[in-house]
Amino acid sequence: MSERRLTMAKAMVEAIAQEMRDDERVFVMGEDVGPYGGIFDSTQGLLDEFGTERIRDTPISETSFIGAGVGAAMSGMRPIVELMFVDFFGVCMDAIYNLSAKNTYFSGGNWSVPMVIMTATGGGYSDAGQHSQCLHATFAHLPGMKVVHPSNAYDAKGMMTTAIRDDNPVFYMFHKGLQGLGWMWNVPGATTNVPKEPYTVPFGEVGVRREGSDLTIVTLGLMVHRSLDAAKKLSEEGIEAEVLDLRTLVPLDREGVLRSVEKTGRLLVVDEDYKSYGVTAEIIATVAEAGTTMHAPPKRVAYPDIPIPFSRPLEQFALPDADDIASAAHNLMKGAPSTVTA
Amino acid sequence: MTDIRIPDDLWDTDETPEGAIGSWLFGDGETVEEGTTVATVMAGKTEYDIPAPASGTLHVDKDADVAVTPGEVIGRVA
Amino acid sequence: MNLSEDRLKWAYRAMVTARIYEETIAEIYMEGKTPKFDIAAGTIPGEMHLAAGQEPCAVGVCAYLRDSDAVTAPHRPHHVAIAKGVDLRKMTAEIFGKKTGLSHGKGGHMHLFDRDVNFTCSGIVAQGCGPAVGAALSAKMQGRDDIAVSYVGEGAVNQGGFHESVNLAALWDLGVIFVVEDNDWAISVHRKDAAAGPRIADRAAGYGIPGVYIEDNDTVALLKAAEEAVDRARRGDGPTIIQVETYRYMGHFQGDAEGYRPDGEKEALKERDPIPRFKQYLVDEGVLANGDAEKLEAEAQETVDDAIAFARESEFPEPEDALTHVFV
Repeated sequence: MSERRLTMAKAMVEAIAQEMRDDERVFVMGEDVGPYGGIFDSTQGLLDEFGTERIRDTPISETSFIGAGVGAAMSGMRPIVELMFVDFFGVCMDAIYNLSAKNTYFSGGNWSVPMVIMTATGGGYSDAGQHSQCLHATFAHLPGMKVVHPSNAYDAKGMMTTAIRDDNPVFYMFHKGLQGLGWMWNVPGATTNVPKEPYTVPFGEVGVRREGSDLTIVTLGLMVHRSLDAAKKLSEEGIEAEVLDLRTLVPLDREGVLRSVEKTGRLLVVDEDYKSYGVTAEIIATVAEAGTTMHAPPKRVAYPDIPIPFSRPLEQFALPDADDIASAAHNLMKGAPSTVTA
Repeated sequence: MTDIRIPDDLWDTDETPEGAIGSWLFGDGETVEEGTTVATVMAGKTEYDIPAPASGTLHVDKDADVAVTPGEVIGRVA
Repeated sequence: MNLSEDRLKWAYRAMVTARIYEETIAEIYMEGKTPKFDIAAGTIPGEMHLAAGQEPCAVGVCAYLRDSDAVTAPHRPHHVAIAKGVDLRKMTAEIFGKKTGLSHGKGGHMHLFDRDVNFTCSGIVAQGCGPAVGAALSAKMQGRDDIAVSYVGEGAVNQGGFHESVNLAALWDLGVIFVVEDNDWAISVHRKDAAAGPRIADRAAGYGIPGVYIEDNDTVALLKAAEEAVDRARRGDGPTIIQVETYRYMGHFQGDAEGYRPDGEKEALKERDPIPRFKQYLVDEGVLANGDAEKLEAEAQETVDDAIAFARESEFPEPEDALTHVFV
């Protein structure tokens, strides 16, 4: 297998293209997915190969075209629909959670809804509070749809392939800062080696991004990279953090989390989404309910419970970064006298 | 030794006099295969892929974010 | 058209101010973004949607508005804000993310709020339609003859929110004017690939309300049509849809390569620049005499320069200020 590296955006596109070649039922709908190639490059080049019948630019009508995705999925097709920014869910949530996520159940399993909704998340570039949210928990909270969030190109391709082949609705969230867009700041770690052949990455398995024995950092998306940066700093100070990438929120690999926390005895959960009622709480609850013996109470670092401000100093203050994570890890370690650092 | 050169007509320099290296997908000294995208170049908000002109070891001459113009050599493959 | 000479001069000056403003912001936006474009960098980070070419839409309706009339604008709001009389210093400081901005840096260019002139805007398509209906409903319930104007792009008319709001306003005879700024392009998707039917204004018939189509970005034609729509709204006779064929001289956002646009389209539209055409009209009508236009243009330039200088000199907010204003 030849070595080559892809950005996350290109990895997603490759997965979509390969599945479309193999399966006539797969098609794409969304705003600016045609000649523009997706505002965040998620459909770049697909129009040239597949044409307007299968790569369909839509009007700004999410209520309708996401609802149409549900109807198409129940009528023999396997649509991929793009919600340009996750923040736009307000106009189409009904189709997402009342239809795509419930129709299998309502039909007593007689119907499946094999659709992928892909959507861009995340801030950090001063796009303000209607274009910068993560909303991981908003979607993961609602039963009936899978919710996935790759942190690198390898996973982005494999998880897109898994999503398209899944007979359930899959909400595929991708972080704008991980896409490898030339016009955005970038996280180099998100651009990885990606096999040319189609492959799948199974849902419901955490990725252990770094092994460590002192504490477990559980996170996802962009914060995987921020946590790895923090772990590097911590390591220089003699603290070895294990970094778990959740990769999928539904299904959630609770065993994978527990395995690591049982080893380290300390838990720090990091999320770019709002703090309260979120992923951080769910992970901590999982560990608490399991009765895992801990050296210190768990901690979390997340976006505070405020809308996302425009002005750079305000937004940068509010977003979790490697320093925030390292500092929380230090506080966590203070519960263990043998490893307290200056 | 083969130069990695930005094509002369990659973008309209009347409109955008200079672009910049977006990113290198491979590091200095890594092995690359002919035809693989090794770097991206930005002109304004438009991104262009730069393929390896040959297989071999990559030498990076112009780092990410450095200003470049069409026709310029940004690295080599040996 | 029952507009005083002063008001017509105001309209010209507001159009020129808006044009100079957008061209100036376009330049400043690139500060810190060359040679490599980084949307998060520079004097003004984030997205920037500019409205050069759409000035007639702004002044054509706002010419008849009072401060107490509500205006909701979309993500491309500057020209409308200027015509509505939003404080340009504070607006510019907001766009720069400064403490002295309208919202102390919390909103930025897509979320401009000025209570003094009852102006708001928002970043998601067709979001302003409902709130405009609510503003008109409040006026009616409170016995005021204030009206509301909801500005949307032509892409927004395919959102449920547009249809639902027009229907509600028509049903309850509310004083709302829906101004559809039809610049042909919803980012990269052309109107004819997005909206069924020949004209958006024709949809008004379905609601039993007037629908007006203004061709060729014509400021004077719009001023005439808006006068009637505003009178109708103030009388309590209900809403009007006004579709304005307008021009987008810049990208959807700054940095847009606009590969989807046919060659020569922008150049052709620029030859139909509405500002010199309106100026010629005012000269022909004897509103602008010798030196008047130059004076108004100089005032416009001065206003913009002053606002930019104010924004540049202003301080950034303290990082911890991010935590304030979540609740009152």
